[in-house]
Amino acid sequence: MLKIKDLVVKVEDKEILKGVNLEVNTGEVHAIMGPNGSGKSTLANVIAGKEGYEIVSGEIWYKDINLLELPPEERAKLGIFLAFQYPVEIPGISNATLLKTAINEIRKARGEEELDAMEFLSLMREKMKLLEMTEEMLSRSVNAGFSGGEKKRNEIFQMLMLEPKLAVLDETDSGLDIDALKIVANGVNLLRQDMSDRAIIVVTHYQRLLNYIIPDFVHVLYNGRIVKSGNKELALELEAKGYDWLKSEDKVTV
Amino acid sequence: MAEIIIKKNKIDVSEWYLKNFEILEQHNNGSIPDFIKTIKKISLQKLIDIGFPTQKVEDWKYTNIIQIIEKNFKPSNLTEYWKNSEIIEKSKRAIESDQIISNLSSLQLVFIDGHFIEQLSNAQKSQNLELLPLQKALKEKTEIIQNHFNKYAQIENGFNALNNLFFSDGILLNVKDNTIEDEPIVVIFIQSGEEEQIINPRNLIVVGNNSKARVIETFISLKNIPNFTNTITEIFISENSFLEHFKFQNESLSSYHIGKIQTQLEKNSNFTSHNFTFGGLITRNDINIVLDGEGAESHFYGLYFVKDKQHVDNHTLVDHAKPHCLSNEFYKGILAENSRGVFNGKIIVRKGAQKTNAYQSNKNLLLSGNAKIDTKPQLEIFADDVRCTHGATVGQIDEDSLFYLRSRGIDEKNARSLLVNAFANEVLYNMTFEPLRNKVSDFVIEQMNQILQKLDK
Ligand SMILES: Nc1ncnc2c1ncn2[C@@H]1O[C@H](COP(=O)(O)OP(=O)(O)OP(=O)(O)O)[C@@H](O)[C@H]1O
Ligand SMILES: [Mg+2]
Repeated sequence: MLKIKDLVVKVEDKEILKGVNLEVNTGEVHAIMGPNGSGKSTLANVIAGKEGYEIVSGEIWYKDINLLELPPEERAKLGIFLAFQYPVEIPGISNATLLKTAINEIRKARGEEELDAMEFLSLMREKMKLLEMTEEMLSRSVNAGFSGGEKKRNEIFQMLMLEPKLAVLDETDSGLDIDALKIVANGVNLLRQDMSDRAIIVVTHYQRLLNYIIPDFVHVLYNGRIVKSGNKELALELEAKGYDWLKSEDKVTV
Repeated sequence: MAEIIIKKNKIDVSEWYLKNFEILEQHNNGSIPDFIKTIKKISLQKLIDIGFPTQKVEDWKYTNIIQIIEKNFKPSNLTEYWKNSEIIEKSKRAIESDQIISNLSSLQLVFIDGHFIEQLSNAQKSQNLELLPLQKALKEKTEIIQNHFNKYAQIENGFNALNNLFFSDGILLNVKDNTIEDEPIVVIFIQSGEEEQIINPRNLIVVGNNSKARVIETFISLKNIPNFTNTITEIFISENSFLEHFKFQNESLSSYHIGKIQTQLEKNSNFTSHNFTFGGLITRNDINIVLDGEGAESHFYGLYFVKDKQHVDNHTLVDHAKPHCLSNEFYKGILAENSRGVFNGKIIVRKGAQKTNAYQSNKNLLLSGNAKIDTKPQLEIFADDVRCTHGATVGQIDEDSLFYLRSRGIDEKNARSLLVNAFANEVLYNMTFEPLRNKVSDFVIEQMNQILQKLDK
């Protein structure tokens, strides 16, 4: 589903990604771990199409489509979704407006009919309930005045509404208490119920999220490269040993 | 073009206006009340003395009005296009299709080139609400006119004097004591554009005790040719009363517009102003208020959204003359293409006006590298127990917000338009009159889409 080849990315003349290779197949859940500043968010943003990055070399293929040629909105319409590490606050645009516009644009692109107001509202209610969100959040501005946890929950809410094919979750667990973590993980696992045309990439620092969203593969992104890949045991190992031991190793595949 | 003489702080009034005033006097042939004659006489002398402001005058630093004075605008008092049935028909259609004021109210007064058009108006009379054309009121409502007309608006510049000399028509609204009028009163000034004219609308609004009303003034033009609108509205609000006033400057992009709203507040009264500038080549608004009774409250909201080579200058003056008053001001501007904005918010707290609360904020969004805004608060505080805050910002569309929306599948154009609308909404939220708020919000989106479409080409 997603194939990243030798991706080198610069930000303001500084090389951040130094040759990333990653292949994610339909049906799989991948976790990407790694220390602060190793380039995890950069990778997630480049997949989603954020501007301001210089793609020095490499390719990103999504179902035989060259992603790097597409603007972010086209990627979203193809089913790519990024849950932001730091969701922005947008005063003046309500959550409901954002979602209604987004859903209808995506549906239009898929050749589906727009949802009418009633269908839309009942869909929103259903998903909000799953995430234990209150309905008044719909009329509030996007993330404005939301607590850290509420923002993350809102990202997952949007994800459930948009039903992406490829979901990239950038540290959706950070800042969540244990109850919120479970709710968010449940949300992700709902998406996981049907993986027939879907894959999920979870960026995290902590093993604890992976107790709830059990990954098929775990990768370590270190200093702009994937230096180690393995199964869920790797996450436990990282939790126990930290990242320092990786410094001494070259790229190792378990 | 008029011969004009420019001195350091003053542009002399041109022969053109003096000559036309003489013609008008002969035309009127003594049919105006004596005290109005006196006002005109004083105003004429004042106009000759002070002329029109140059940019050396601090309050006009960023707004150059020479091109307005240079043009020989024909005073609309002396034209008769308003009698033409085709123009009346065209005006009717313009009102019906107007995005802002169509179908808003059953109370509506229409003026074409400054003249009252009875057949397009509906000034229902009731015992507690007097609503009639000012020219008629000058003859019929002499008491209220003598008590209030020209009592609040001072001559601060030549334009104000010019209005006193040439004012044609407008409304008198007299809301009597203990009257709650729910139906908004819509006042429409139409420039026919048949000739390069100056119209001088003049309104007087008087609200008695314990009363409430809502007035919507709008300015539109039928043709895109240079016209000049020079308008004054005076407002007096008695104790415990509330007036909400809206102004829409929606004239063509070739028009010049100088407008003044002067309000006097008594004890525990409340004035809320919503000031919108979308049209006009050069627009200057002076919105002034004196909080002249304890417990009075004023709210100034403004939104300017301009493009092309438009220039909009909003000067506001909040004068806290008595203690325990509150003033709140929130102006936002969206400036596209080569447009230019000026915001100057002056707050005076007089000696003895203790326990004053005054807030002011001006935020601007520049949509192009060529757009420009000069924004300045101006505080003059002579009391010591005062709470006063002000702030101004100038920014562009936030790139992170833009990416966030696009990452959800929303096209760049659509995302930009949503963000601009969101910026505007922050001030539109203060419009409690929902039908109007929705119309303005739609208007803002459409304006944005037009600008974005141009960018594509
Ligand atoms: N816009 C930018 N301008 C300058 N430097 C940037 C920019 N974006 C990222 N960087 C730098 O790139 C490096 C990688 O950042 P990135 O956010 O991808 O790391 P991360 O792995 O997500 O870290 P964290 O775990 O803290 O979220 C950091 O050194 C960061 O400072
Ligand atoms: Mg990160």
